[in-house]
Amino acid sequence: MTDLHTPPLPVPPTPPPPGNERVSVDHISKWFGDVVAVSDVSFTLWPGVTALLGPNGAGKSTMLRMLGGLEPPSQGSVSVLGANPRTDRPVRGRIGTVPQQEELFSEQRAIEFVSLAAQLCGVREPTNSARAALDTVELDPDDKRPIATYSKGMRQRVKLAQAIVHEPELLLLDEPLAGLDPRQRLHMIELIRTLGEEGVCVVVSSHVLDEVERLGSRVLVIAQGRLAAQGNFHDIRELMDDRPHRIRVRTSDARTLGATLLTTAGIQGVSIGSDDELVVQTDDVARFRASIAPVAKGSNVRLFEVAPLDEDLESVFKYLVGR
Amino acid sequence: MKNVMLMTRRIVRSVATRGRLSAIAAAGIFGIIIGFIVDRSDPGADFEPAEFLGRFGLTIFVPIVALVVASATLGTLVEEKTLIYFWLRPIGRWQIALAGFLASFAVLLPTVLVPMGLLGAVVGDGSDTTGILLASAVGVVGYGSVFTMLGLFTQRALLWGLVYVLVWEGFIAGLSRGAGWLALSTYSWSALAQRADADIIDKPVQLATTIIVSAAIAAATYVITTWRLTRMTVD
Repeated sequence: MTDLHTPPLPVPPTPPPPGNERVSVDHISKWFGDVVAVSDVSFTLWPGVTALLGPNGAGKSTMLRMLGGLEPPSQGSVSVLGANPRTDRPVRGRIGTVPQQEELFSEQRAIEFVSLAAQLCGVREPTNSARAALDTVELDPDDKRPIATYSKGMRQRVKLAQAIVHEPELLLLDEPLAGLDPRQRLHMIELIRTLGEEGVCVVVSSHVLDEVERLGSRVLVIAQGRLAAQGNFHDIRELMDDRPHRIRVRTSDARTLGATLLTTAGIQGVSIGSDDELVVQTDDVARFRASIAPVAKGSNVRLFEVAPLDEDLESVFKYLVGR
Repeated sequence: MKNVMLMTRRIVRSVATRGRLSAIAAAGIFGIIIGFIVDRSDPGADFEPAEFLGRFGLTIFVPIVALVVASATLGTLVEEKTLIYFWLRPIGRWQIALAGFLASFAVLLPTVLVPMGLLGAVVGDGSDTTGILLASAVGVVGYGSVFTMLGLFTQRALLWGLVYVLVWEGFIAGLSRGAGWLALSTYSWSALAQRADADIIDKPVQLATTIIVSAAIAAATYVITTWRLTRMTVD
């Protein structure tokens, strides 16, 4: 699944405040038979929001499961709040987890489900805490309907309520924005940010760059089971934008335009696909976009289409891993 | 114990569905009706109530009901991926296992003992009734424990449970005395034979031995279930 020998990216992590580490991951790997899901990953987390960013199948969920103690690492060690989350019972009461699966105790009402979570976590006033948690996620604690009748977005919020009802110090959220409508999504992002600002260590997995951007978080980029990059979102974004971009240009005369572009600053290469199509490689997309029209006009050729070829997140991750 | 009772109640609500309870009740009523018909059809015939109670109750009804209920207690949590909501909490794995066993017994005891008691009253006398009640309780503990554990190990617990009941207990256990010792039905039939004072089984096991073996089976399967919960990865 992954090349174990690819060196890690040079983006330096923001140094953690000393003595406040919540999660310490030391060279963990996880494999299932011959398939390597996570390979030699190390990082440290502290209070605030951290996003695990990566394409589907990158190993984000496996990573979160290991942080929550649901899965033991095949190699390396995970320390959460100074303990092993898989074997240390008390530390589980300080972790809140929103798992990826949708299944809940469907015949229960939301208040019953969240109250049960509170009781099992030893919360003193479980019903009041459950009501507060449901209020926080904008669900009605007095709703008489069973969870089975809830939409995907409502279930997602019930899952979050059961994860925060005991006021955990570490919150693990596996794709928490999935299934939410835009308004709920905004509210959830705001809530996650607030929890992070209040000192909770929140780990959010996502494969959507824009979501992560709005979380304003530190980012761990996971690709093919490896930690491809880590740092604040701005650093990662810059790194992604600095990579060579390929842009397809459809024109009335590909050869003439290609020859002119090769003399233009910021253009690293041009390949002619056909009489009316060429692919331009550049490391400065903004400058290219500003110059392509004047260059075409000066060359007396017409432009039909200018389209990026590798703007999708998957190709960004591939680039990061391959560096 | 508070956490164990909370989880037990939750599991019971998941397992004791209307459909499942209706099917069990229908099977029990069917047995009672058949018992009534057989008992009344030919008053001169050599009808042995304990034998009928053993064949219907201990060979079919108790193991099948135990399989359907007990394999679902922890098994349904795994299958529906809701075990995670117990597993994530700061509670011992032994507590989850205990809740599973208690839930199995809590559902099985009334659903098995009520129809078996009625069936005993319909076809037999007082000793037959107490015999089938005791034997059913022994069966509930034995089968309930084994099938609760089985539900955690495989999502095909119903299939493997049926193979055990039909192939091992129904066929192989009858081939030799040694194999019979490894069949739960040997102990439930022995309890019925002893309590009803009926000659329905060769060399029945002593009642004290039956109770000790049932308790040992429950303890062993409980330990294995706890061990499994400690080692398994939870979806």
